Amino acid sequence: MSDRELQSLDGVITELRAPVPVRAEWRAGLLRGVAMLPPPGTMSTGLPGERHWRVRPLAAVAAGVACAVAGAALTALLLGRPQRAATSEDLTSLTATMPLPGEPIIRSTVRFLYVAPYAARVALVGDFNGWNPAAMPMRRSPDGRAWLIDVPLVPGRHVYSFVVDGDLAADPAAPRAGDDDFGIPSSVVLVTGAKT
Amino acid sequence: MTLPAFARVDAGSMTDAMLVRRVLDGDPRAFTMLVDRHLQPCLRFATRMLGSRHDAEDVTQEALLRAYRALAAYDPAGGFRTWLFAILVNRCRTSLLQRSRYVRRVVTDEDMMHNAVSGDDAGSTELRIEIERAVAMLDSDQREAFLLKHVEQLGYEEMAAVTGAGVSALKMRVKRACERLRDLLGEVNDVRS
Repeated sequence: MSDRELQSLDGVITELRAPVPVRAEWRAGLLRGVAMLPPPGTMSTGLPGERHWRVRPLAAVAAGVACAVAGAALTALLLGRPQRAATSEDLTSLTATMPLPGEPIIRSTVRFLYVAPYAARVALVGDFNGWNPAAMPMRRSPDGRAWLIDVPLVPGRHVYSFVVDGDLAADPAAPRAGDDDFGIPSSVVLVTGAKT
Repeated sequence: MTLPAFARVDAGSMTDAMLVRRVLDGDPRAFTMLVDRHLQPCLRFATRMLGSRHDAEDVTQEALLRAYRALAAYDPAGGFRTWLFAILVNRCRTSLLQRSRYVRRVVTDEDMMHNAVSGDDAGSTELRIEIERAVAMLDSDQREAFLLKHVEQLGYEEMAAVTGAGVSALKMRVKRACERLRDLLGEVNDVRS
């Protein structure tokens, strides 16, 4: 495209570059939405001896983690009965088990499990910990094949991933989050309320 | 939980990467500064891309919320604008795709009037409407490349990082978009004269 050819569109480009007014109430709503989100996780705590995570930006943030559906099945297989995990059937009953306004929110413990016998370090990241790889390191199972962590979660839908030796990994047996960002592999767990 | 105390932030003296670091360290005000720094170009791109102010606000809000949620994944080695626009472009594509499943893209005069900057004479507004209509008639990949290059003034390498397309393909899209725009606006001018 020559400069001369482009010059014929100068007026068009100038018009298109004109600022689009930002509505104050829309901006305020946007910032309120941000304030309602959990703080984004930091990649480093600065603690001595902490390992540097190799989480790449666009491939990024914490990915891969435990869908309790698969976690429950694998845990039952490897380690016995899981404590409490969501199943796909819970989807339809999820709203029915959500606490009503004024009711105490009862957290349900969900066991996340990832089979990685040769990994040196596995962590759980998700919207419940600000996608912070340092927040929830997983422990190796007694047989050394899998990595586990039990997390108390409020009822609802949670998106999560695993960080395996610094790389993101989705839970192969879990439903994928439909709103993956930048191809980040994210999984979903539905937690029902633990009504007493 | 009490947030850590932070010294007053002078947004003008801080780079995007510094503001991101500050957000990750627990200072939410720094994200407001990032929002204010990038909101206008994001909203402009989405408005020109989607042809609907309402859809543009939705998509821009969604992109910024996603950016906040994934902020720990941002690599300061790359530009924050590039990273943010990659999210925004992705959301615009999704929006267009969802829309095309139901209805053919239609840009109404109401949208055009809404998008046009107010306060000018009627002739100028009419010209803007014609320009917006011509832009809306471009293929979406050509429109995307044209807007990134000539309206948001990204370089081709940055555009490649944002769109995932190769530089030569992007150059071709921009070239074809310019040719098509000239044809479309030329037709309008021919009719008017």
